[in-house]
Amino acid sequence: MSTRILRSFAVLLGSAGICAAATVGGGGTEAPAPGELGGPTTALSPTEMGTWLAGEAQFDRAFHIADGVGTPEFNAESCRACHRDPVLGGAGGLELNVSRFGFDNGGLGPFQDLPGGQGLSKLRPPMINDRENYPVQADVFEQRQTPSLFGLGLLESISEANILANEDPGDSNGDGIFGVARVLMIDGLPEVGRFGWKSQVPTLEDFVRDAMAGEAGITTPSVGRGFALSVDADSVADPEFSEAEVDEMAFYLENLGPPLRVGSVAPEVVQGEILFTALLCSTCHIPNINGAVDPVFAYTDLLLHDVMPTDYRGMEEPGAGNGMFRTPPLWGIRHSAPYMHDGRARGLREAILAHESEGQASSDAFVLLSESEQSALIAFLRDL
Amino acid sequence: MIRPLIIAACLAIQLAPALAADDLKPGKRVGRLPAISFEVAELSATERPGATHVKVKLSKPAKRDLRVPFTVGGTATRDEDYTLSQDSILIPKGRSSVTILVDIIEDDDSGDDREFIELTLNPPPGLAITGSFGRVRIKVLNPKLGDPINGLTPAQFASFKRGEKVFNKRFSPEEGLGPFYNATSCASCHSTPVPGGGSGLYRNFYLAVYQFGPTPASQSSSIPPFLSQVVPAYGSGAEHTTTTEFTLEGGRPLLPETVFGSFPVLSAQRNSIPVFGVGLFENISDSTILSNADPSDTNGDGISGVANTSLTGTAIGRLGLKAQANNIELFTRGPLQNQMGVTTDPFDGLSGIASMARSPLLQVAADPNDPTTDADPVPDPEMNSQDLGDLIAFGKFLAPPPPPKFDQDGLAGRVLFRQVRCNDCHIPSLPSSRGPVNAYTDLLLHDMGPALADNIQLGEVPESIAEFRTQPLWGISNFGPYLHDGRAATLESAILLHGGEAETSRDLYIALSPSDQSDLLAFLEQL
Repeated sequence: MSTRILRSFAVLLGSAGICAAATVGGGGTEAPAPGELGGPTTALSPTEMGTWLAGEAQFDRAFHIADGVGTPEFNAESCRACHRDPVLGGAGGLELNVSRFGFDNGGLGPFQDLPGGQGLSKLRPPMINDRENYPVQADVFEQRQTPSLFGLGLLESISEANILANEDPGDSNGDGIFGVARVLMIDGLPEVGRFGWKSQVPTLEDFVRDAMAGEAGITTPSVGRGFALSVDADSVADPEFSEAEVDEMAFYLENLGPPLRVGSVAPEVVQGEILFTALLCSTCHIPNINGAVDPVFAYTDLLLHDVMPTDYRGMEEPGAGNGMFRTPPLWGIRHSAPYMHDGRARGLREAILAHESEGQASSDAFVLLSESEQSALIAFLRDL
Repeated sequence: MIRPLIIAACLAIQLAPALAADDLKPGKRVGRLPAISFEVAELSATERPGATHVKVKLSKPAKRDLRVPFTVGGTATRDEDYTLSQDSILIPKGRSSVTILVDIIEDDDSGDDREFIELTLNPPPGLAITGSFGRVRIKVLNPKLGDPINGLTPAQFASFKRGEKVFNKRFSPEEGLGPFYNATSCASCHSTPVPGGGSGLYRNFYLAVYQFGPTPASQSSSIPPFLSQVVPAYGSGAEHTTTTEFTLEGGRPLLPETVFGSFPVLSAQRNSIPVFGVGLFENISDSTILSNADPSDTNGDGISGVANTSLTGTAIGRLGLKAQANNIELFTRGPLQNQMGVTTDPFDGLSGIASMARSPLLQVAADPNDPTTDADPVPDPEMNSQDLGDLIAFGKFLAPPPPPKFDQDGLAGRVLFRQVRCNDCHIPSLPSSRGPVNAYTDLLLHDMGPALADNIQLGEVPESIAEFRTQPLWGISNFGPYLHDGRAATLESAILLHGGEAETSRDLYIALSPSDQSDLLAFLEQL
């Protein structure tokens, strides 16, 4: 019911020209049509549609105590709890942020993980008293905002070579921008990370296992890649989410369509696109990278950049230092406020102005634009 | 009963003998005639208890009794779909307005949303119509979650709609969010299935107190640096910075096991509760609530309902899981401060409350007469009085869930509900100054057994340490999970977790046949 309300809301919000024809799948559940926000990327066969809807149902499912929610710690009892705005699979508001902690010696460094790791969960199941605390020596905290999941299957389809091709770790072209790929050692072999604020996850299947563990405290079978939590401390038998269910949910995400452009040809939008390139936003927010079949118009290079202030204190991970975040895709950005890794920017203007360090030149150039040029750039972003 | 003409029933026209001679002087310019009009051109009336008020205004007080006929039209059928309080308007001498009451008849017709009623004034000679308001169209709506109650004035309705916006507004640090917070808007937690509802486990929050003596009765209201018993999930970091620039980089406060050396900290979770219809609890008299209390179980039925009161026993609580607050203003300003870190000045404070006494244990971080303040650099109050007043209006006027329509199973379940004595505490209806409040609660505290007791006192009576207010059941199927911390995923599991005073009813439920159990659950689902 609520999903349907949200869907019609999305249609009202102006995915102009999109026909809201509903597909009825095997389970009898309504799904948005391909191309509609929250629908599959392309038309699926009846069998595929059945799997997709099963995955969507898992995504929408509220886990309770008897289902094993919590390690006992958790942030949410369903994927939908956070990824729901404006429709299932979307982003979430500031109030759905999650917290991380660490120790950086008052900013002098070096950064260290403290016992318990970086993640700080909000909750435990109702009958367990207290909640997770961090060690008292923690002196640096970072919140993380819920990103939208639309079109991630297309990002997964981009080859590692196509991502690495845009790296410039030594700024050899002297443009002040140092894109670096997140290289993770998975089961002894290097893989390029592409999901998460620090590109800490390489595939959507890994992402499902990682998020089920880290956000919901739900155990999944381990496949030796280091993302599953296969055993936890609650009394529900492990795994709490079967391999078949992981596959269904991964299939749902792999085929959850990208947000489509509004496609306005208003002069303002056209001018905004020119300014987007002229201000060098497109250096990191590369309009498209070739995917397996077609170019993927996600407006990201999937590389890490430092766009935080020079005195910023945040989390560090191997290969992703303080203030280093993956260029977030800009497709569908009109649907996913607030912005930046912790949601510090309420709107697109604030988000542009929040770009410092590698993004400083572009942000400064934006300030120098006339008011109408600034509006044009934002109109272009809202069209994506 | 004779049914009047259905459409455009022309009602008895009595030419008004009421106008004063100079009003009828020939040649007088129309613009200077006394004018009559409806207050608005369009209204809606919901199929709910209570009439919709349609106000007719005269430009100046009537010099004599003034009778004005009106015509009734539209697609809805009088006396089948609705009733009208009168057939013509009589404005008494000296008055300049009168109200027609339109009462929509509650039925099973789901087509009502397309129906409307139209009233057209037929002013006698000498009386002008102001603008286009000689006619009012009243849309007939099916009740749904999120409606206002019927009978609001246009000003109250407008305030309700503005308040709905404030309820949904997400606050940012620049607007006063923090320095500590759990949520960025009221609707963050009161979200499901529509704003005003409850939410899933993921929105749970913690309460904590510390105990400085050997018994639960010796406990403090809160742990520094929390503003109240509510434990925040986020810190905005404002307290760590010397600038006025906000960050989201602050740590959330620790929830220690002990404070001040060795005083143990007690904590418990809370699941957010729906707020539909709770404004009506303000309209239930103290004496009504107290009439159901039986603190020492003098009738020997094993049930000892007790009202949560102030120290003087004069303030009777109604709102919150422990009935720890007795008015919407208190229960609006409290969560704004505790859950969002948004400060306000009292609107009415104690002066607006008939039976409110100072209580250090209420869920506000300030006395009801005092402004709330916080440590972030945004000037207090962070929400102005206009917004606060509108938000309070939203809480006061948000209607109960739509009235139930039972099928055969539900009707059978209703009988069983009584037989297993659920309604000893979940009293189906309490009278109020706005008519019956069918919330299925007695608004009293009851012992629910040791497994549910959380040992956190809210309000003044010692029973509030372990006991909980009978939760309203109207619309309950919309608002899972259940019980104060959401530990029950289903209605049946909620029943089975009832202990203490409810043990007998629980055991009677268990003893029912499976089909009777399913009827009882059907009744709850249809509420």
